[in-house]
Amino acid sequence: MTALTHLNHSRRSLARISARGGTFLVALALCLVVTTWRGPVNASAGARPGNRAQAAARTLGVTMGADGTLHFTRPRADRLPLGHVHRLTVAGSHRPDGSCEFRGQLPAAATAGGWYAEEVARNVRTCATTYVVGTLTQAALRQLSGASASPPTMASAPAGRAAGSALAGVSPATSYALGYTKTQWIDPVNITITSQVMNFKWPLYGAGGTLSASWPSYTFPYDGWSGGTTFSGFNTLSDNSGWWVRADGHFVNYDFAALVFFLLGLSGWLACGAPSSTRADFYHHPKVTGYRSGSRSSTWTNSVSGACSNLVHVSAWGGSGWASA
Amino acid sequence: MGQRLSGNAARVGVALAAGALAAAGLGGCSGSSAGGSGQPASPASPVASDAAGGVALKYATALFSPSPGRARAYVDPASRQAFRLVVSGTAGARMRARGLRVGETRLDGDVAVTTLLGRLCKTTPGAAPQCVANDDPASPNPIFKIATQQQPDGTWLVTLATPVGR
Repeated sequence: MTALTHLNHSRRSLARISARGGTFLVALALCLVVTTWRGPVNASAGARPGNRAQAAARTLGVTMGADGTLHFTRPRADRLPLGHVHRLTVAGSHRPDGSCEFRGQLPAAATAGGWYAEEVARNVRTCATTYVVGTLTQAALRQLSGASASPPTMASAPAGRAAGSALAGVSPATSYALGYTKTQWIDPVNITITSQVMNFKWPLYGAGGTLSASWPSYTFPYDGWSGGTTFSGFNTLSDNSGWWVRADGHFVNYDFAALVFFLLGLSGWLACGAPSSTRADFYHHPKVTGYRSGSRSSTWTNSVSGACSNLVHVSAWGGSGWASA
Repeated sequence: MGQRLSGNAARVGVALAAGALAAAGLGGCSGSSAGGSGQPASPASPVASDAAGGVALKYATALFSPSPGRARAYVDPASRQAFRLVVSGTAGARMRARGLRVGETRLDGDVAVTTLLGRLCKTTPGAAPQCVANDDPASPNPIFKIATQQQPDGTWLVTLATPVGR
């Protein structure tokens, strides 16, 4: 199996991971190991298998139900001050390579304030995904994603005058709205592997002015990342009621699976689908639609394929303002 | 693209990682010390080696049989929920092993890591078999390694809570 080159170099990969992601390695090792490594020998007389099983399930953060549904048992959502919490199951679809593509969309009314959604279950046969969804205050969002009100701009374009608008003669840039959508891929111990933001600033009420956008991304400092982000450009809605922008991020990494194999050995390789390579591809497509009325809506489409992709889950959130990656 | 560490930052990262690992008492993850003495791990005693290696071999043999769920019998109770992921990961594929045998077993306290020898193959519908082989008893390739842990009753069972890497 010639494609197994990377597996044979996983030891070196781990050295690189240690060098570039020491904090992550320590965190992951601590989470996976400390609760059961060595200590239970002397304490085992009093240890209860049930308790240890629960501890193991908690530390891994991924379990599988008898029906084959993956459950992500330690969502970050549990630690966020979410309001109006509910669950939302969204149909997914299979990509040509057999992996799942996950979509999420919240109605404009639901995204008027800050919101947060995180995948808590996935049916790998149907690709249906269940999110826990809730609202967040702008203060909580700022803490979560570093959102600010004064954006650095990476792209801008004249908005043009609203055709047929009664307000076409209004002086440009009377006022603006800002909004963003952010998506993340998160590993089994809640470390962010990669994230992608779509920031958008647009003029209100049919005035002229300037459309602005940025699409910062983040990749955990493993070694060997490749890929990047493409910006959709500014797109006018068919009814001229506003615009939409989307960031298309695609990031490739080889070290995440190598780390899983390092930790779990043969069992990890099988849990990851016995891949012939440690390559994993992470995709993000966060989108923001801004309306001249000032409202906005957020949608996202995420997919992941390749080694150990069944062990990661997605979160998405958004609000007004401008977010960092 | 995201943030990357500069050369200097990477060097700092090495120091931080090493320090943090040491502080966390996880030197055994990368240095494999025996009993926390700081000395390199030595091969297990014949009795422990046979017992731990034997369980590792039975576990792997079951995983690559038509009924991989049977391998659960060799898994530490604390790891059995996670074990579902092991079986589900290759659902839809036909996994087969040839010439499986025990290579080296290294002991670190109550944990042993066994390196298996042999050939592992995966066949999916419409695709040619993909195989990987190991004939090095001390291979660093983690996918041929299985960690086992001694139980209170003295028996050995597979654990998914201990890194196999060294």
